Amino acid sequence: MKKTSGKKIIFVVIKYAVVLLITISMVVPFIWMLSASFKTNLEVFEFPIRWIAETTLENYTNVWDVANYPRMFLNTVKLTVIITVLQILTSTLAAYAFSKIYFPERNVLFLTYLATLMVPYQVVMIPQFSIIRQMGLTNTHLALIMIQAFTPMGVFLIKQFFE
Amino acid sequence: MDRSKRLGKTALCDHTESETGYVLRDDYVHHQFFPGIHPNLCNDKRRTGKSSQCVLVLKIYEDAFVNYKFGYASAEAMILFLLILIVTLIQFYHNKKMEA
Repeated sequence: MKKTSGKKIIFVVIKYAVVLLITISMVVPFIWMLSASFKTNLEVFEFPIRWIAETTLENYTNVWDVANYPRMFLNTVKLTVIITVLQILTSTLAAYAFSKIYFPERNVLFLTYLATLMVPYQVVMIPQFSIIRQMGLTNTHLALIMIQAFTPMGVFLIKQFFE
Repeated sequence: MDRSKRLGKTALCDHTESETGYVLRDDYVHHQFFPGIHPNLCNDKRRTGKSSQCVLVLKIYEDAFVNYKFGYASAEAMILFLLILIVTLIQFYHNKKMEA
C-alpha cells in the first residue's frame, strides 16, 4: 500500500481550508439575508448577530400585501425579454457583416467596436445619464432598452461562431 | 432665468417643499448630494403620478437603503431569489429535454 507523505497531507489540508474559507465568505451574506428577512427592523442591527431570531413572518406577509410585487416582477420580465430579443437581433446582424462581408477597413472598425469593451462603465455612466435626461427619457423603460440594445460582447461571440 | 426652465422640461423638476427649493425628481445623483431628500422612485405613487415603472431590484435597493426597511427588503430579496431559482430550474429542464 502506498503511503501518503506528510507533505501531501498538509497540502490537501491547506487546499481544503482555502476552499472552505471562500465558500463561507460567499454563503454567509446569503444566510445573513435569510435570517434578516425573519427579523423586525430593530433586530437586524443587534450586535452579536442572532442567526435565528424569534421568527416573524410579518415581512413576508407585507411583501405579499403592501408591495406592488407582481407589477415590479412583470416590469423586470418585460425588460429582460425585450432587451434579450433586441440584443440577439442586432448582434447577429452586425456579426454577419463583420464575418462574411468584405468592406474596407473592416478589421479596424471591428477592433474599435471591441475597444469600447475596455472602457469601464463608470466612465460612461454620468454622460449617459445626462444624455438620457436631455432626451426626456428618464423614468421610462425606453431608456433602459435603448441603452442595452447593443452589445459589443454579443457581436464578438457570434462573430466567432460564424467564422 | 427660472430654474425649472433652465433644467428643461417641467417633468424633470418637482416643486416640493424643501430648503433647496426645486428637487430633481429623477436622479439618484441628487440623492447622493442631498441625502435628506429621498427620490423614492418606486414607493411614491403620489409624486411620480403614474403606475410604477420601477424594476424589482431597484425597489429592493430603495426599501433597504433609502427607506431603511432592512427586514422587509431582505424578504423581498428572498422571494426574488426563489423566483429566479424557479426560472433557472425550468430552463435546466428544458435544456435537458432538448439534448435528449
